Amino acid sequence: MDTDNNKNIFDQLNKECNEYSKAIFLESCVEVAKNGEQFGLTTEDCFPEVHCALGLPYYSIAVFGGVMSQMPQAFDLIDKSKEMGVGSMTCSGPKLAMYMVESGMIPKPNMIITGNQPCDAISALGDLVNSYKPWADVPKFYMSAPHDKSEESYVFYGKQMRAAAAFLEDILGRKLDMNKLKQISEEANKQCQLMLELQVLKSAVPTPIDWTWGRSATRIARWGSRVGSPVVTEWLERLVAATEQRVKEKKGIDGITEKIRFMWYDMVPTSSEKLFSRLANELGAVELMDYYNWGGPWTPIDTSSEEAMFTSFAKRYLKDTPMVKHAMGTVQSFTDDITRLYKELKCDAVVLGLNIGHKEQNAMYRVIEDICRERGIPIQMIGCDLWDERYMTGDQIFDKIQMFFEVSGLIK
Amino acid sequence: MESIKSSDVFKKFSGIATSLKNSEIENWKKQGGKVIGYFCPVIPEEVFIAGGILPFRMRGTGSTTTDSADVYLKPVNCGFPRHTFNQALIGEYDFLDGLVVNTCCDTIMRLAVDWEHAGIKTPFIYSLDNAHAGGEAMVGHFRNQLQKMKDAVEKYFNVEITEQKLQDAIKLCNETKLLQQKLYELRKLPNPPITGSETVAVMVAGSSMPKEQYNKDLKTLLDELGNVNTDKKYSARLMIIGCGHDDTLLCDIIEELGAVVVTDQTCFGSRVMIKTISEEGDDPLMSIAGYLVLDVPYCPKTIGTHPERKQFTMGLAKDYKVDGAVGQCFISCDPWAAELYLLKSEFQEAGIPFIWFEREYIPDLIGQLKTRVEAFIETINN
Repeated sequence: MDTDNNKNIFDQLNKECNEYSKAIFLESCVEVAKNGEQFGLTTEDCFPEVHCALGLPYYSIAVFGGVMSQMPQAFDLIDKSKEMGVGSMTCSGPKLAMYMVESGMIPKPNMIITGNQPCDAISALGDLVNSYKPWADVPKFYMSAPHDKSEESYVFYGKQMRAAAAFLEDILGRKLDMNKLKQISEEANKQCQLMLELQVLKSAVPTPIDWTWGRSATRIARWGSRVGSPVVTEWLERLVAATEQRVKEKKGIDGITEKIRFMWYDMVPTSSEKLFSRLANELGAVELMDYYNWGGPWTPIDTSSEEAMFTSFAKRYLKDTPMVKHAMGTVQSFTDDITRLYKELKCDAVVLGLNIGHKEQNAMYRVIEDICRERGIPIQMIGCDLWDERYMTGDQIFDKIQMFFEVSGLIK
Repeated sequence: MESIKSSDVFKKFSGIATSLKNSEIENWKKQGGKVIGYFCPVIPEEVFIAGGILPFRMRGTGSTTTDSADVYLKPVNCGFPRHTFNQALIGEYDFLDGLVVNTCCDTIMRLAVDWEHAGIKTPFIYSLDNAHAGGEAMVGHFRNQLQKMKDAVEKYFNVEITEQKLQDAIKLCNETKLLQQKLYELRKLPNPPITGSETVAVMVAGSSMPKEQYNKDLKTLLDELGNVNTDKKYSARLMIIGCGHDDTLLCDIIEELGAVVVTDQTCFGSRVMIKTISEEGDDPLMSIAGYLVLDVPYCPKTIGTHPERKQFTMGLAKDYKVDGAVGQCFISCDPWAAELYLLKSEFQEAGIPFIWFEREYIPDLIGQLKTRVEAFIETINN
C-alpha cells in the first residue's frame, strides 16, 4: 500500500466517521424531534445494543453537555449554568447540560432513563432532568448502578436493564426482537475485538496513528445508533488494516518524531486538539490513551439466552466502560488499569487530568500517586476543568506537562 | 426553668455533641466494648447494636484545619469528609475499632482507601454499597448488601447477630426515633421550649452514645422541657434544609438574630427519626432495607426520589408553620446543590420565602453568612 493510498484511506475513514457521529449530537436530536419521531433521553447510555435493536433514537444529555463545551458559545453557556445556582464546584460538563435542559435547548423526549452512574454530578443532572416541569408528563425510568463488583450485582443490574428495556418497549408499542438484539450483540462483540486490536497496534513504536482515532472508534462503536451495525464493523476493519499497514512500514504519526509516549488518564479536555498537537509537534510527546480512546478489553456479550445477554451488558457497562469502571470502582481498578496500559502501550509517563469535577479521583489522588510511584510509573496530576478552559488553559496544561517531562528526565 | 440550657441532661448532650470523645464512650470502652464509626444514616446502626457494638456517627467536630487531610483529598472535595478525616489523622478517632463508609457520595466512598493508606489504625474497615434509586426492586439487593456487612461484622468481631438481636436493636432504635419525634412535636408550639441549636445538640448526641442511656436521658429531658418558660417571642419560624447538619453554627446565627429554627430536613435531624422501622416480619434485615429504600428515600443521591423529598420537605414546612426556609449545602456537594435548586421553585410556588447557599463545613469567616441570613429574616419580617 503506498503512502498516498494509506492517507486516502484515513481521509475516507474520517469523513465516514464524522457522518456516523452526527447521531450522538444535539442537532440530530432536534432533527428527530422536528420530524415527529419518538426518541429517548438518558443521562448516561448504559445499553447501546438495546436501543439500537429497538431502532430507537436515543441521546445522552451528558454527551450534549460535553460536546457543547467545545462550541464557540461554551463560555457564555457555562457562565449561565453557574448563574442558575447549582453547585459552584459541580463538574462543568454536567452543569452545562443542566443549563441546556433548563433553558429549553433540548427537545421534549418521549421517554427518559436516568441513573446514579457514573458520578454525583451526573446523578444530580438526572434529578434536574426528572424534575424539569415541562417534561413532567414524560415517562421515566430510574436505575441504580451498583458499585459492588460481584456476580450478584451484575445479575441485579442486568435485571434492571431488562426492566428498562421493557419500559422502552411499552412506550414504543413494539417488542424487543431478541434475535435482532443477539445479532447486534454479536456484531458489537466483533467491534469491541477490533477496538482492542487497534489498541494493540497503537502499542507499536512509533505509534502508527494519533489519539483521535481511538476516540472516533468509540464514538461510533460504543455510542449512538450504529452500535452493532455491520457498517461500523467494516469501518473498524478498514481502520485496523490501514493502521496495521503503517505498523508494518514502521510509520509513526505523520510529521511527528516520537520521543515520549504518555497516557492522559481521564476524558480529554476541551483544549485537547490544540494541546496534544502542541505536545506532539514541540516535544515529540504522543498521547496514546484516554477515556475516549478506550480499546478494552470488553466483556463479550453472552448471547446464549436473554438473561445471559442482559447480565453481560451489565458486566460490560460496569466492569469495562471507562469512567464508569473507574469512578464507581475501587482504587485498584484505577491503578491496575494504569499499570496494565502503561506497560502494554510502552508509555513513558502518565498524566492524570484530575478534573475538578471528578470528586472520586480527587479523593484518592494521593493513593493513586503512591501506588504508581511504587510501581515505577512517572505520574503527574493536573487539576484542570475538562470543560472550561478558563480554569486552566491548554497552554498552562502544556507547561505543566512539559515541566513534568523535564523533571522525569524524559526531555534531555 | 428559663431555658433548657440549665438542665444537666442538656449539658451532657451538648458536651457530647461538641466533642468527639465523651465519657459515655470512655465507659463503654473501659468495659471492653467495641465502637464502629459510620458515615451516613443509610448505614443502619441497628446491625452494630445487634452485635453489641456501639455505633458512632462520624463528624468533624472540633476540627480547625484540613492540613493533614489535604495530603489525601483535594480542596475540591467537600469539607465534611476532609475535616472528619483530618480528625482521624491527628488521632481524635483513636477510640474506633471499626469504620463503615458507604457509596453515599463520590468523596466519602473513597475514605476507606484513604484511611487504610494513611495507616490509621482502625482494624476493621468496610464499604457498604447503597441502593441509589427508590422502588421495590432495590430492596432485595440492598438487603443482600446489608447481609454482607452483617457477615463481615460478625466475622471480624467474633459476634453472632441473630434475628432476635436485630429485632431488639430495631425496637431500641425505634424507641429513640419515637422520643425524638416527641421532641420535634414540641417545636410545633407557637413558642417552642427548645431552640434549633439546642435540638441539634440533642440529635447529634443520639448518634454518639449508647442508645439505652440516650433514651433514658432523652425521656428526662422531655419531662424537663415541660417546665421551660415559653414566653419568649421569636421574629420568625424557620426550617433548615440540606446535608449533614452536625453543628449549631447556622442555627446559632439564625437564633442570635431573633428567629427560631423549628424544624429541619437534614440527615442528623428529622430524616433519621421521622419514621420507624417495621417490627413485624421475620426478616429484620429486609425490614431495615425496606425502611431505608422505601420509607425514607430523602437523600438526593437517590435518583428519581425528588417527589418524595419535595412532599416530605413541604410537609414539614406546613406542619411546623414555618415563615421561611434556609437551604444549605457544603461546597462540592453536587446532589444537594441540585436538590436545593429544585426546591427553590417548590417554595416559591408555596409562597414560603426560601434562601439557599453553599458554605464550608467549618467556615473561616461567618460574616457573609450572617449578613445573608439577616437580610433574609428582615425580608420575612417586612
